[in-house]
Parts: sequence; C-alpha cells; structure tokens
Amino acid sequence: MQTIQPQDRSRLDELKHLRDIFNAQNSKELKIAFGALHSCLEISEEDLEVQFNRYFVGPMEPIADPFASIYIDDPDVVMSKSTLHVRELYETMGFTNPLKNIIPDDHLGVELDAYYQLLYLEEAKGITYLSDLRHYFLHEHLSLWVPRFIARALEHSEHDSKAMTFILLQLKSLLIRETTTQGVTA
Amino acid sequence: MSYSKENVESIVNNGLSRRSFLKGLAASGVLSSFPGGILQANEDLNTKIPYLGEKSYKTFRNACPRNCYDTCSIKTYVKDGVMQFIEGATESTYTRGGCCVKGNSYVKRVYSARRLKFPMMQVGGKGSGNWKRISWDQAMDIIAKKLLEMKKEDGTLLGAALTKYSGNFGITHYGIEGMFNSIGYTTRLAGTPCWPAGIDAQNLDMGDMWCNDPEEMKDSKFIILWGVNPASNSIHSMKYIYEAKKKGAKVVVIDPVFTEAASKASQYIQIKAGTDGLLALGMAKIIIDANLHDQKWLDANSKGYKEYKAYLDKEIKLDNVSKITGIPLAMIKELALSFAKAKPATIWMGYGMQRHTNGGSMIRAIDAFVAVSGNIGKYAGGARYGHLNTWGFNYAALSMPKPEGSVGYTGPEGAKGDVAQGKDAKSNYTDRFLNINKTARELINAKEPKVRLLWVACKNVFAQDFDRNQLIRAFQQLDLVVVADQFFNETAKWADIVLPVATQFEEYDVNVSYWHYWLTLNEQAIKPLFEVKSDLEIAAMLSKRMNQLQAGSCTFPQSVDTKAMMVKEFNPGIYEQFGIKSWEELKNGPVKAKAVIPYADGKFKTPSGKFEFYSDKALELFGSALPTYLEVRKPYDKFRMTSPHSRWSLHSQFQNLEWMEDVHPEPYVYINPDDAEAKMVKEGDTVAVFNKQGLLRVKAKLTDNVQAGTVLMYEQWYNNNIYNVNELIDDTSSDMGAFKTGAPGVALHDTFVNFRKL
Amino acid sequence: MQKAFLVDGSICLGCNTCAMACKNQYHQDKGILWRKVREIGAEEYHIDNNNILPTLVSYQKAPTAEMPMERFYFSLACNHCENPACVAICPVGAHTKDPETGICKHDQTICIGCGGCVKACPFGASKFNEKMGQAEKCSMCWERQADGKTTACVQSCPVGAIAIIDLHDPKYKEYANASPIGIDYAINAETKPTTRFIHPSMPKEVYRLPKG
Repeated sequence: MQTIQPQDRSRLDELKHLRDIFNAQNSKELKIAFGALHSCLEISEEDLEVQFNRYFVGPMEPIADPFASIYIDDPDVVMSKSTLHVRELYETMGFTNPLKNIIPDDHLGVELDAYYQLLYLEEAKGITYLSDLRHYFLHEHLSLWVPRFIARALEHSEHDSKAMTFILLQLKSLLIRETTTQGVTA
Repeated sequence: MSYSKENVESIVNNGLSRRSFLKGLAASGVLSSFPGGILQANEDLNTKIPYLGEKSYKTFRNACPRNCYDTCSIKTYVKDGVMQFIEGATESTYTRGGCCVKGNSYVKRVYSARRLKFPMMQVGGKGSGNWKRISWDQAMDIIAKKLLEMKKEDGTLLGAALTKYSGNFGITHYGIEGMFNSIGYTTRLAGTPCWPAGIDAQNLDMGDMWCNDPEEMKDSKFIILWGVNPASNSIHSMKYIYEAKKKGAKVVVIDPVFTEAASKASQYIQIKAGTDGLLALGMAKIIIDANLHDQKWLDANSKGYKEYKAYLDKEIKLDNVSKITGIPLAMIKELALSFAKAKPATIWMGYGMQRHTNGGSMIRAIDAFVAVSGNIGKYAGGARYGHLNTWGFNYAALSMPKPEGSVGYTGPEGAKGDVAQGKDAKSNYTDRFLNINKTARELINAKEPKVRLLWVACKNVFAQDFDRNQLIRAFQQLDLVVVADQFFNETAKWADIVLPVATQFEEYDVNVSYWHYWLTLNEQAIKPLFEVKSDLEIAAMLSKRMNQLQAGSCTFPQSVDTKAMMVKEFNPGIYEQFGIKSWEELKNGPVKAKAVIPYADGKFKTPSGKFEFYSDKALELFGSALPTYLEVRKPYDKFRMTSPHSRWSLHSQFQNLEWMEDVHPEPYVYINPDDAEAKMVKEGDTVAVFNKQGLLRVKAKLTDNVQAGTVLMYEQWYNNNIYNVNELIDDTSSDMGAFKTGAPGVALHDTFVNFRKL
Repeated sequence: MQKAFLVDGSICLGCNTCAMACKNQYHQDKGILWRKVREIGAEEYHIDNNNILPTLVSYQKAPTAEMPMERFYFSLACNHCENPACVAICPVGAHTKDPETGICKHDQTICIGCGGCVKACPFGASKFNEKMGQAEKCSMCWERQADGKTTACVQSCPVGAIAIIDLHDPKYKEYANASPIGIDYAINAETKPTTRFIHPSMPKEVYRLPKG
C-alpha cells in the first residue's frame, strides 16, 4: 500500500473541510470546518452561520441553492432527473446513502463527500479501481453545475461577505485543481 | 483503467455490467475501507433494472387536504422512494381519475427547493432576515421554557395564542388544537374567515349545515348556481351539472360576475352584489302568489311560515326587488315560476355571497325560497351550502385533558371553529377566544394577560388575514412567534422560529370533504424530506420537552406515530356510515358514505324540530327572527372590489410553484371597459388600485365579465410578486357567524377601492 | 387506425388540468407545455413561447367570434397529423408515425436537436428544449396506452372534454369528414391534423345589468 504524500494530505484535507462546511448542521460545526480552511478572517460563529444560511440554506430563498438539479434541471426543484442520475452513480461507486430520500443525493455536501471518498481510496489506500468513476463524476457532473453555483453566489458575495467569498474561492480553486490534475498512476 | 465517458455510461446504464463491476469492488476489499462521512460502503450489490409501466411503481393512497370542495382522492406513484407522478383515484366516482391543475403540480410542491427544510430561528429580530439553524430539541426547549415561564408569571397560559385554519384539513391536524388543549387554557383565534355567516344561517333555518350529495345533481330538473363558480372552484362537480343539463334541466347562474360557470350555463343573470337575499324574497313571494308553493310540506315541516308570508306580503314590493337587484321583473317571475314547477330543483349557494355585511341574511332568504318551493329533503333537491356530516371522527389528538390545576378564562363560552373543540364540562374555565377575522387588532388589544406567544399552523396569516399594517405591529409586539409551515411565506418572515412541516405525502392522515361524501385514506408515500416533521410529531416533541422541564405540564402523548394517530380517528359510527369493517379497506381506494337525503325524514335539529322561517335564536342573536331584507354595506370608495378564489391557487397555496407560473404567470385586475375608458386605462396597463387600507400595483385586463362599477382581483400568493389583495381589505364583519363558529365572518366582498393608470 | 384527440370546447372549463397532468407525468422543464390550453379570442392565441416561430402561421384564421375574456378555450397538444411534417423532416428518424395507431411519436434518445421539426410543424407541437438542445412533444402517452391506461390528459379531465377517437372508424365519420370541426385553426393544412374540435357558444340567455 502506498504511503500518503504531504501534498495529497492537504488536497484531501481541503476537500474534507469544504465538505464539512456544506454538511454542517449548526454554527459550531460550521465554524470548526471554516477555521480548518485556515482563513485569517475574524468572524463570529453566529455571523458566519447567518451569512451561510442566507447564501445556501434558507429559510428564505437562498442566493445559490447547493443542489445540482437547480442548475441542471429546474431552477426551483430538488429530487429531479439529475438527482436520480447522481443516485445511480453512487450505487455504481458502491456507496449507500443513509440520507437517501431525505437529503437529495445531489446536495453539494453529499457530492463533495462522494468525491472525497473516491479520492481517499486512491490517495490514501492506493486503490485506483474507482479512478474512472471519480473522473467521470468530476468532469461529467460536478463540473457541469458547481462552477455555475459558485458564479451565482460569488456575484453577490464579492461585495457582501468576505467569509462566503473565501469559501467559494476555496471551492473554485479546488475544482480547478482537481479538473486539471491528472489522476494518480497506479 | 483510464477514464472514458462511454465506458462509465455503459456501466451506469447497464445493470449486468454494473453488477459485475460492483462484484469486482467487493472482491478487491474496496468497500470496507471508506473513511467517515455521509456515504457508506454498499455491500449488498442490489442493481435496479429499469422497467416501464404501472408495475414498476409503488403506489400509495393519498388525499388532497386543501380547503376545497373537491378533496380529491389521489393515487401516488413512487419509484425508489421518489414521487414520480400522481393521478386521481379511479375508485371515486367523484374524483373519477383526475385531480385539478393544482393537484397535478404536487410533485413539484413536495420537491420544491423553496420548501422549509430545517427548524430555524431568526436571530436579528422579526423581519431581519438573519436566520440560524437550530435542532428540533433546541426549538422545543425554547418554546417549552417560554410557555412555562409565562405560566409562572401570569398564573395561566392565556398568554399563549394559537391561530390555525385551513392549510391542511386532514383530520389528524386537529392535533394542533389538541397540543394547545393539552398545555392548559390558552388563547385561540376563533371563528373562520371562510363561510361562517352561511353556517349560522343554515343552522338557524335547519339546525344543521347539511347538503345533498352533489352527485345527485345529475338528476335535478332545475339548478341555480347562486354565487358559486364550480367551473373554477369545484371542477369535479361540473360533470353532474352537465349531465343534468344534457337531460334537459335548466342551469341558471346568478352572480355579479359572468363567471366560468356562467359561460357554461343555460342562463346567466347578473345581479347587483349584496342584493341576492332580496331577489330570493321576491321569488318566494311570486311562487306563493301563484300558488306554486308546497303547502303540504310547509304545514308538516316548517315553523313560522305564516309570519314569513305576512312579511313578504307587507314588506316585499316586486317593483322594488327589480329596481334594487337590477333584474327585470319579468325575468324574476319567469325564474321563480319555472324553478317552482320543476321537481326536483336545487340551489347551490357559494361562499362568496355570504362575505357581505348582510351575508347570513341572504343565505337565510335563499334557504326559505327553496323550502317554500318544496325542495328541501328531496333527492336531487336541497339548499346546498356545505356539510360536515361525514366528519364524525374521534378527533383523538384534539381531545386532550387539561393538565391538573390549569387556570383559564372565565368569560362567556361557545362552540368555536368548524369542528367542536374539546370542552371540559367539569371546569369553570375556558380558553380565551379572539376573533380570527380581526386577528391584528385582537392580538394588540388582548389584555390580562396580554398575548406573548403566537403559534401559527396551517395558516398564512399575512396572506389571508386582514388589516395587514396592523398585523406587522401585532407580530412585533409578541415575545415569541412560532410558524409551522411548508414554505417561507410572509408570515414566516415575521416569525422568531420557523418549523418545517411535512406534506400529506410524508405522513398518515384521513380526509373527508365538506361537499361530497367520500372518505379517503392518506398514506405516507415518501420519507419526510430534510428535517420536516408532521404537526402531530411536533406536538409530541413539545410535550416531551415540557414534561422534562415540569412533569405533568402537558398531557399530549410524548411520542406519536402518524399512522397510529390516524387509526385512532375511526369509530363504529364511521365504519357504519361508510360500510366498511376496518380502515384498512381504504387501502383499496376511497369509499362513499351510504346514501342519505338530508331532512327527508322531516327532522330538523332546530329548537322546534322543524324548518324555521321564524327563529327565536335568530331574533335573540341577530335581531330578526325572519329571513328579511338587510341592506348591504354602503360604498366608501368609487368601485366595489370583489376578490374571489382563483383556480390557480387555494388561498396562498400553489400559485407560488413554478409549474403554475407556466399556465398562469401573473396577477391582474379585471376592469369593465366602461370604467377603464373613463379612467383612460387600456388593456395591459399597470394600474394602482387603492383605498384607505393600502395600494396595489397590478396589470389591467378589460372585460365585461365584471359589471361596471366593480373591479375584480383574485386572492393569490405569488413567490416573486408582492401582490396581495388582502392589503385592500378591512376587517368589517358580516352579519352572522358568531352563533356556530365563535366569531362573525368578514365582509370582504364589501370592499371599495379606486384606481388610476400608472 | 388513426387515433385523434376530440376536444369538446362546449364543455371545456379552461381549467388547465390536462396541461398540468401532462407535466405531472413527464416533468417538462419550466416554460414547456406539450399540451396548452388556449383562450379563444385572446391575443395569446397566436403566440407560443416554446416555439422558434413567433407566431403560428396556421392560426391566422383564428375565430373572430366575440368571446368574453377567459371563458372559452381549446386544449391542444400534438395533432398527430395524417401526413406529419415532423416525420418528413427529421433526418434521424426520431419522429415516427406508428403504422398501427397513427400516433406521431418522438424519441428523444435519437433526437439530434436540429430543430427541423420545430420549424416544420405548423402548429408548434414540437417544442425546442434549449437546455437539452433537443426537441420534445406529445406522443399521445403511447406507453401508457400500451400499458392499458389512457393518456394523462384524458384521464385527468374533470368533465371528459378530451377523448381519443379513431378517425378511420365509421362511428366517427362526422368528425373525419369535416376537417377540422368548428374552428378555423388548420384549414387546408397539408399535414392533415387529426385533432377535432367542438365549438363552444355563449349561453342562450345572458342578462347583464344595464349601464349606469
């Protein structure tokens, strides 16, 4: 089994922290994941969450809903065609989603989790079996909507919220890095 | 392996190769090595094989629980836990396989990204837009502590108010009232904004509100649709009206508006709004004078006919009737006489007509006309308004005992709401009732104790209630506003805590109609999305927390299963009425109550046991024993505004969905071309419609569907439009409603406005 | 056999249940309606936003009858023409005419999105889905019909204003011969549309309050 390289660790860690930001269920979880991204921004737990909710959660219409279906299928609907496509992909990847039919499968946090787990297998365990699927997921799915999601949110955040801008830019650079990095060679 | 789009897609699309692919994964040990996260390794290698056709879906029984005559029986098609589409249940002869335009949008309603997803708290104050996620436990903790603190400080829980109405008419939703019953004596926004004046009128006349089966209308020989527009608001009833018409019955629509139903009738008669009662009195006089009244029935079954006839003789002058209603006398005579000659003949009265300051008196006058014509208690006859005759459930979740030692209100008490509320016969205390139709001012004015906590359920207060400016003030002065809803509407905007509520597809329930006679099971078809919970589960969680903080402070069960609660609603009476042995039979489809013709046995639940032209109760409560002519509210501005229900929405539900925008994108004000010309308004112009209450900007459509002097705007809530017709409506009461529903109705069709081109 | 929609405008409520039932079944994207309920006499009569063409040329003979606003309608999806332009123009065979039923089917998995059918159809039945880059249209729920059900629109109509008839069946010859009945929407259309329409009329007796 391969030993993990330091640069790989940070690639994985960054992905993990972004995943945790979008999966956070309260201010504390959000703040911890946000802090782990090494932001030098000073922001209170509450302010961070209030801003995050206004952008991505609700209860009023968020600036950018974090679901693929919003960008691929239908601007106001979850659990549609593309969601079910992602569900199929997870099953092909061999994942079970305990939140199936509760959180739509194409929620950004869930998708980042899937991508993280696939990358983890390659990077940390040296298992390259799923590399094709990971690339497919990245190029044929994540790349279809996440850039549009980022652009929609950034348009607001750049003159409104430093913290959200930071998160979005981190996500953006991660996506660029992943799409331009060749897969590890087995 | 190298990345190839085609390779992967063939794996995804092909069950067999996916299976071998996954087997390979299992063999390599990959599946056991995943790090922590949401997704877990899937070790049972199930592959779904795509299959088209009915059998590839799992189906469930559902019901549309909205405030609608039709209460459709639904069959829901689910695949892999996701709702795919719905159909009307074919087992119901009423729904007959179809829903309406709204029902057919349910898939997009359930999966709307705009739904409330998590319990949240507004941390920057009401209306600030600063929201924080809280867990259900935290939400319940905040609410429970507030309730207990209020009880300690005030000595009662009368500072806690509940406003709940018709957002979901499922029987188990009366558990929301049950939740409030179970914490002690509280404050309730009582009454109904919908149909109370008519309910009182029918109860005064007949001791009940009970209408014939609408499916009988196919055999009626003469049908008057009086101020009702089923072509828009009860579309499944239209087939019976068409059938009657096809068989030669005359269908007459009497309405100030040339409605969709009017366009499909044999005859349309336009009337001046608020004069319908006088027309009915005139018609009664005509048939009595022509000796076409049913003297035999009247002798056997009515009280006070003599006094009524004397009133008609003395006070009702036919020339005046014609002048005031605007209808030529010959036409009135022809209408009255041909109705009286046709047997059976029936009148269906809409809920719009009683939303006038003289609304109850008008329903009474029409009831009396139908009685005089001998059509009460007859198959395919009747004075139809609505009924709750199939609503004999246990209301198990509603009937909660008060916690020991509860202290309440000692003011006067009465039956409140559509369904009788749990009442503690042994206690001297009652809940405190505020008039739901004056919500804003009542919340502000309530004293000793003042209202500090408001719970909003099944209701969009800001879209449906009146006097909106005052409402903001009322909400702002409350300590804690809890809004339990499915969407972020304007009421949620002014909440402290929002709680996401399940749709009917995410819970069990049982539904009946206030119009037809079908009973429908509502099964849970899908898992609740995100963190939504049913109203019953919310009540149970609150009870659990309250009891943890103070044992015995809440009597509601501390954990519930919506299916078990639904089962508790059934009783032998229901089984007998619907001819079933167990609720489980409803899994095979909806069932209809055994046929019964209201009042055919001549038994009325009035004090005299007869149809009461002369009602002592009416004299006591409303100052007139007889159905008499009462003048409608005087205009206070240039044009009358009428705001009927739209076919695209049910109150503030449905029009906000994007599918609905595809068939009906925006609101309009409908103006008579003559009025428009005088105001230089052209089709499509944006106009300001305004009065002492507020101002709305909306596009104009010109049509003589509305009479000169009247503008029409539908009551709707759009997702991306601030349009809200209730901004123009004050909270003036209608004449009746307090008798049976606890508060008078609201005279919202007696609204007056002016308009100008922008 | 030539299956055809028979639309009874005299009882149609304009409630749009049929159009929404179609969306409910097929989840058409926002802005796309395979079946559309058109208001007789309204200006929108000519316009279909889902279509490349700004106006539908064959509607130029729209009924001139004075009809009150928002009261009389006709519900229209694909006309399943006897001589369909979409089938003729499709370069890849995505449009086919079922020889047994006469239904004009569209198979989106074959469609290359050339837009030929959208331009060729005189009635705007083929819609162009810009997001998918493909055409789409009503295929008379042939899968539902094969499964023993009727179409979503027919099943959902509360008053039975839409029916499916066989134009070649002598039973319906009154409809077959008059092409099409009642409404001028497709006089002499070369594609021979099969939808038949029963024209509505105002109630015999209409009383409106006098002016002033």
